[in-house]
Amino acid sequence: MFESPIREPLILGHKTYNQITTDLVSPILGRTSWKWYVTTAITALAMFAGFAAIAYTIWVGIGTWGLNKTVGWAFDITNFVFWIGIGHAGTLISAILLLFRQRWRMAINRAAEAMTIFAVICAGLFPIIHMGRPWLLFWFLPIPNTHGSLWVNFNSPLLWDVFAISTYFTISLLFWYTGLIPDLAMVRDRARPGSFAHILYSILSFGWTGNAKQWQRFEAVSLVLAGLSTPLVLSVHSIVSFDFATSILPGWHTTIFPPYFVAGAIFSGFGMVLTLMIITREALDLKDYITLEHIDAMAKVTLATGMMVGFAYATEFFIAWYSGSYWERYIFLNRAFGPYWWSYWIMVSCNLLIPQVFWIKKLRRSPWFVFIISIFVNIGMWFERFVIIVTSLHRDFLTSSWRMYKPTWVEVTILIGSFGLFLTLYMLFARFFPVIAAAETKSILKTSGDQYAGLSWEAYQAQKRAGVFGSVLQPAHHPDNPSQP
Amino acid sequence: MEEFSRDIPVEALFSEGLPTNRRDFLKWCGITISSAVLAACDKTPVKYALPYVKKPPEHLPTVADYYASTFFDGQIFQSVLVKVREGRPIKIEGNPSCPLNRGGTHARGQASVLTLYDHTRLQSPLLDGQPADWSSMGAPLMDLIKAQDAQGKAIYLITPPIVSPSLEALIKEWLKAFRQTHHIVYAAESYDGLLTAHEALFGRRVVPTYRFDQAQVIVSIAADFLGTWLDPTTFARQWAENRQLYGDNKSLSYHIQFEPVPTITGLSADRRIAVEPSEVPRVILSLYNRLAELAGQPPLNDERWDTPKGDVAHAAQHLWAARGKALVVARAHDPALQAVVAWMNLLLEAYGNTLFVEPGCRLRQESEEAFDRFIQEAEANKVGAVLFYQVNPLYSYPQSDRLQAALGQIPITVAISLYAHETARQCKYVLAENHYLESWGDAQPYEGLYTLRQPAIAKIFSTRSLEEILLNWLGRSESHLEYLQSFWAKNIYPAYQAYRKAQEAGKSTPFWKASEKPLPTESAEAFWNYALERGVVDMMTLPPTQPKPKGKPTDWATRLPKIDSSSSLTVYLYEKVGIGDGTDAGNPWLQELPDPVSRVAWDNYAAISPLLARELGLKTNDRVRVTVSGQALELPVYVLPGTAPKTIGIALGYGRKGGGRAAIGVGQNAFPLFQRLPSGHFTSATAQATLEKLPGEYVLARVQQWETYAGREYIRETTLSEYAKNPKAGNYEEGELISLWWQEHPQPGHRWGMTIDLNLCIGCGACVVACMAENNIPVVGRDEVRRGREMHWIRIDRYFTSTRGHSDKPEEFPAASPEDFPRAFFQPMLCQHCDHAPCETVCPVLAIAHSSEGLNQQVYNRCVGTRYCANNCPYKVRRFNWFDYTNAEKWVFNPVDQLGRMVLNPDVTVRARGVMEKCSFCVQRIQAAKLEAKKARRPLQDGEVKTACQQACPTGAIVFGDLNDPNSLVSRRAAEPRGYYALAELNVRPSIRYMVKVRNESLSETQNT
Repeated sequence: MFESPIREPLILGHKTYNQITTDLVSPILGRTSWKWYVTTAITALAMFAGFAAIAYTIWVGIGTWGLNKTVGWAFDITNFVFWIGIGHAGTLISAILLLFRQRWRMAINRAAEAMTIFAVICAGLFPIIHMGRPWLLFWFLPIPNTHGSLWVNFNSPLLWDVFAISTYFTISLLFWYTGLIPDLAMVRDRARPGSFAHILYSILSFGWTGNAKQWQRFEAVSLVLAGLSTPLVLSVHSIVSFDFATSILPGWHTTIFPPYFVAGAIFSGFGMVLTLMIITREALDLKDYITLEHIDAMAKVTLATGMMVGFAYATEFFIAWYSGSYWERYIFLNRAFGPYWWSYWIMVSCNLLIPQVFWIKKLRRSPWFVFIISIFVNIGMWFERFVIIVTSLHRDFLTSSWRMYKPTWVEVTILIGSFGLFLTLYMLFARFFPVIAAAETKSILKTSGDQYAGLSWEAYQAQKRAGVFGSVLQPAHHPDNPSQP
Repeated sequence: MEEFSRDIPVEALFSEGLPTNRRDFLKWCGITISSAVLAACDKTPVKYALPYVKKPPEHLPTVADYYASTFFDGQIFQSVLVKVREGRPIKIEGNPSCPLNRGGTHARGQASVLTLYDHTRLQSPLLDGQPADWSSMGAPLMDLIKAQDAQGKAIYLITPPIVSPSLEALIKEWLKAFRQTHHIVYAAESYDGLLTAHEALFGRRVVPTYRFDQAQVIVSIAADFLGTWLDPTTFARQWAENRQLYGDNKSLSYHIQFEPVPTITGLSADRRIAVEPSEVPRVILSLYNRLAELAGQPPLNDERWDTPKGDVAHAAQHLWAARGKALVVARAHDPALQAVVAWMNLLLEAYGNTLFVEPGCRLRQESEEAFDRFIQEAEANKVGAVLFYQVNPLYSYPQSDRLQAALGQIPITVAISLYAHETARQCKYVLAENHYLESWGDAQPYEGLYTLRQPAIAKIFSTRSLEEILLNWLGRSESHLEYLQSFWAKNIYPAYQAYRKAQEAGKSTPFWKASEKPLPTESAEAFWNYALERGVVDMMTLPPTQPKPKGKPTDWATRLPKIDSSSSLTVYLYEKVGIGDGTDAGNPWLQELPDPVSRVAWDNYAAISPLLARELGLKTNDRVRVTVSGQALELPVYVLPGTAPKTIGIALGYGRKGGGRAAIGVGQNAFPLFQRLPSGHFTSATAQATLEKLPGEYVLARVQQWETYAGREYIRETTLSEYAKNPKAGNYEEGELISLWWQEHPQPGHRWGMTIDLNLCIGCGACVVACMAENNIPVVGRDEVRRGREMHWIRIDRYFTSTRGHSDKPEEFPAASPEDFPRAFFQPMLCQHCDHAPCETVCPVLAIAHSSEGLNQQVYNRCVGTRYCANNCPYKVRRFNWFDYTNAEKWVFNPVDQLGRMVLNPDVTVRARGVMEKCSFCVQRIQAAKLEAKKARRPLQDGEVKTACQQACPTGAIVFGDLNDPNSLVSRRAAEPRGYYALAELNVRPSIRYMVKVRNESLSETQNT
């Protein structure tokens, strides 16, 4: 098949099918590095600290947080929207980029989808723990009950959230796991027969044999799930934005919110994917699969969505002025120049100004530089939600109720704990699952492998030397691991 | 039937092939069930419920009884109705039969029910600080006092003003048992100057009876007569009578206030002028001199002080123009100044029109001179015994060290007190006093007006009333009730008979507009029964003439205080509405009630003007040391617009060392800063103060952190002249508002609504405390208020104007020149029960429902606590239970221990942690009234349902009722051109209509730009 010479190869290192299998299975079946233990211990510690803070909150009450009569939501819902946003990259990559036939997605979709699931787990935590009486969570569900006419309120965006997020989680989980099945079978086949790993991966791979009928059904299911996921990319964050958009609070009551939130979600999702993938490709020595081309492409998406978000910021200000509404004008001026001005300008700098460096190709292709920018994106997008929630609430209509909000150690610990939970899950994922969709990658080897795209071995070697990070997971010696060609 | 012809082989089934056969199975079942039953047997769960063995037929469970009674804490007098449920008093209402308050209440009256259930009250007498028996406090103690008397030593009884005629008689009788006895009336905030002046002028040591309702021009010089001065609830009601702009009435009284520190009276005045405390005497003298000029009389001296704008001359002109309908009142401790005020009122022909020496007011009887004499005698070792009844001079006497030393000389010290307060702790014998709700009694607050007090509950602790103690000491065997009944039969009943006879003969004019039917006079018993039911016996008559004054004004010229014209800082001591002189400082409801002016709860502070703050580089919450005449206080700063530029305002009543669960550790005691005048009286203004900044800050518990309303239109105002031209002045209609809702919900029956007149609201806070009592609102304490988590369902927002109408910056208070003062507004804010309530749509579990009567109903047991509703409420009236406030161990200020729970209203759910709550429009009252009407098979009458806030309001600013009834008061008020909805442009369609504030003054006169 002819491949355009201007299109860069997506798989480097003159890989064969066998080598792909080896590269992806060896971190799983090999010996665990002490670095993995140390890293996981740290993230797990953060996670358990967060759990302890949550337990304290539930035991004592929401009063342990810094909220007050005026600011009823702050860190809790900020974290919720932040984590929901993080998940969006995975869905976008697996569904939308699939529709657009973006083959570069294959190197990153597995990890990104895993992040989606972990992020939704983190996100789902917050609406539960922010409740005054979380033990009554089941009242959110429209289950037949003996309470007479009591039913849920279908007018409430919070209820829409329940459906949106549970659907999102279910579809994402199914999609991710379905894709994993052939790769889990691959790990099973490489494991020593009779070993624990062999038994475990046999169970996890649901008896996959790779025959034609299975592949046919696999493809069919993947297609259905991709079709289901596609609207979710747009719907989930739109619905989350309705929490604010359908209210009457200036700064919340904004029709621009659904597209603005979706763009922001993809922006933040790609930020997080970049953060983790740059580490992963170094740690697991996957630079041949997650190439600079991939990082470049993701940086472009980040730049584009970042500017969409920036455009939304500008639009909000314009409409606030253009509406002639005193309340709108006040709340936006207060955002930029009120007591929380610093959070607004952190948001603008991190989301709009700093990503502008991605116009420069050289910087887009510098992994550690992109990594730093991706951290800024994460910070900026957290602050975006903080700005929307807290600055709108703390000074609304009646000046008598204006109040400042300050988080307590409990809220900060829960935020750290949510990162701990997310990273712990990701560490477990990276250790026990193939982080790259092997079966799919193999499907594009003959079109996007460097040897087929005309990249010379010498040129590849030069790229290889560009790596800067040490390896967390050492690839163990494997009898099948051949020496370089 | 074939298929069931054989038995099912159960036995075989259970025994065959199983290790356990059927019998064993049943045994195991039996053991399990019986052990589960045994394990479940713990203590008897219900320990405190006691059945009625014989239920009194007149008491129905769940039906409240109301008993008329009398509240007097030494400062605030109130005729009240006590709501009793299942034998427990749970709420205080004003007595509508009383011509003074006519149903209105003061915050302190409302809160008084809480102290009844305070377990920190004295529960038995104390001897040397140890619980003792009443037997040792009876005759043995009396013998000890008699022994002192026999040694020729003086016996002193020190009390607050004794308004009870029966107690007064009993005290006189008791005092006769001794050779040298003195009954002294002591008050922390003394009105001795006013009393002395009137004694000198009219020969009667009484405070005059004021009639603010008769006054068209009122000039108050530092007297907070709507909040704390003398009889504020009565005065507020009277003042409000001339502030009603309904229908065709286009006139208002004109109220000018000169004061150093803003009070609710000043903020409600048409014109308020901030004057230094040192200028207060100058205002009085200058006003007199100008009035004398206008009257063609000789001036007292050449004092012609005035503000740069000429406010004193302006006041003089208005007063003079309204002679006969003018009134001047002042808070001044110097008798000479009060005499000048009295001469001023004489010039204005006010005596007999707007104030009366006959009948006089008996609420104040103190004598500072007598108390000084007591200390001198005690120091000279001439006092054998002293009895402190309801007074706490070791806390409130400015020279308490001297008093304490003097007390050490007295062999027998007795305190008769509700609490082991500062004075009681220094006394050898402490006699635990009844709470007033446990006592019989009577009162004569004004000459000719009698009220009765009856117990609403049996004594909770081993306590006695003073009457019981005295009767015991006198060796009389009758009970308090028997004594009271016989006293009334002997004294009040004949007096009332005579009064009625004179009435029927047309020989006397009633002082108040008669609104009640006369009491029966055929027998003393019937009279007593009806009087007790009504609680009030009004025999006040208007004498044909008032006493003539003695002497002439110039007699006082030599006794006038020296004018301090130095420009030093002056400490000015004042009282707050909730705390007063500190007697009730132990009441958590009152501590949690934010000061209406500063909106700070739980502390006092140094109130300074923005000008001084800028000059000294101070801001709110900075710590300072205020030093004056050798006394120093460390206080946080509160920058209060309207404070005179060289004034440091400090509230009294704080820094208690004992007396009630909330008293200790709150604020600093400012009483030591009182200074003696040359006349011997203590004055609240002390010059030559210094202010020194201390490191660090002290965060005040402010419920409102933004002082201005930023020009937003939920506050609307106009002037009387504008209003006279156009009744819609300052107001505007919203344009056509489009609704997203496609259908209106029919409200065929009632549609509850409210109007709140900003012109009548004086910010006194009675409604806030009433709401706390009615709706079981928790007290969260200082730290939680600091965090912005107070639970009040109704709050009174206080706004200042800023120099620029739409300014959002608080520092833009007019602070450019000393006389600048921003206009102020009080806006009661509570759930608006919106028809299109934004809170209702966002609740995911439908915990907020809209009733067919227009109520926005929070369903506590359905609430899961997402707080989405509170975020979406534009009025920010929703309150979240951040913690389990019912946990009595942790929330020490919330009165929910075993005893404290008794105060809870059983008709209102106590909310759990994690639940949102808010104003319900007192739905329990609505339901109760509807049931009554239904039982009587008649429609509900207008005015039958009163919300707690409405009922408490002394000025009638709040009106509640059925908007579907076009003739209801609330409908008529809502149709007034002054009506507007707060934040109407949001189209949430609130049910509360505010009425534009109208000032009897041009705005340019009051606004300083």
